[in-house]
Amino acid sequence: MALYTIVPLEEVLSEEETATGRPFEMTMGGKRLLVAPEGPGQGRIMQLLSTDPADFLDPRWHPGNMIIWLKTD
Amino acid sequence: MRLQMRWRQEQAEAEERERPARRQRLTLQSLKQLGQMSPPPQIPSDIHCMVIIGQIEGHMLLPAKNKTTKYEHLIPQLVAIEQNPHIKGLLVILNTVGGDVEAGLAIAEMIESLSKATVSLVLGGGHSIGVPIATAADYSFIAATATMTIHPLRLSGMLIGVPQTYEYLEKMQDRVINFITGHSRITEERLRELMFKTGDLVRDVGTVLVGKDAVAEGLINDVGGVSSALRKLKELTSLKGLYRKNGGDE
Repeated sequence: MALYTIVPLEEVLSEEETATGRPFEMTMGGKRLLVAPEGPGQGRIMQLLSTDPADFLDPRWHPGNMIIWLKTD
Repeated sequence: MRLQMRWRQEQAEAEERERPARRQRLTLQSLKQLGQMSPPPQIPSDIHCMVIIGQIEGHMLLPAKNKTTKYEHLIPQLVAIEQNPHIKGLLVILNTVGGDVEAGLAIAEMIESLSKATVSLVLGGGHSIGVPIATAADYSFIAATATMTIHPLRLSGMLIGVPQTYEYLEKMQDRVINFITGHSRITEERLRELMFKTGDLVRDVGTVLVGKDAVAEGLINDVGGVSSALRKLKELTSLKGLYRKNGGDE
């Protein structure tokens, strides 16, 4: 596998302990979000995955927002 | 799954100040009724924007501490942009340290083969595999302070110590070089010269090109920022519109 990057490979590939869980994708309000879980059923928005520039003006999807979702089990 | 959301008070207030009075009344009404804000009215944009940041993640998931661009996202988004008749142009903004060669070249080829107008803007950094992606657009800009690093490919992982490994590396490198020279004004000779230069980089061979250096070398079309990029995009979208109307095939 070829990683063509200026970052030294030992930097890229080293695993680190992260406080929050691994970010995952979810859909909310019709928009795709990358969310870092911070507990059961809640998390912080890390990224809005969209190409429409208007979506980025919507304050609901600002990175750093806490979001909560309720799961029905 | 029922979904609920919470707000930051400051962000909501900032939005409020910008809204005209009537919309403000409607918003307050919906806040009272539903307990949540209605979204701001969507003004449909015919220019879409794609940001390529951090490491370009390809066949392997990188550790969580890396900020990544997942190419498997960008590909369907590019297909959607190609298909959507309302989208006339794409602005690709790059601030990447490089990443997976195949994923990077895949994105570059997709951008290159879009029939819509494309403009790329390198902000911060457009290193390594970011170079082919920047040159793939119809027109490319680089911010005056942005840098692009040209350096040779390196293989990682388990390598077998035979001459064929070197030939493979050469082949991979040729893919990248051919793409760059095919989509910019730089010659292969000059690109190889920049790639193997010693003295510029501390831990590696290669060259760091800052803003206007990249333009001088013929890699990037022009120095500029977001306004120049959007202006160029508007110019290209109207040109492409004319071309298509006059029976040209894209």
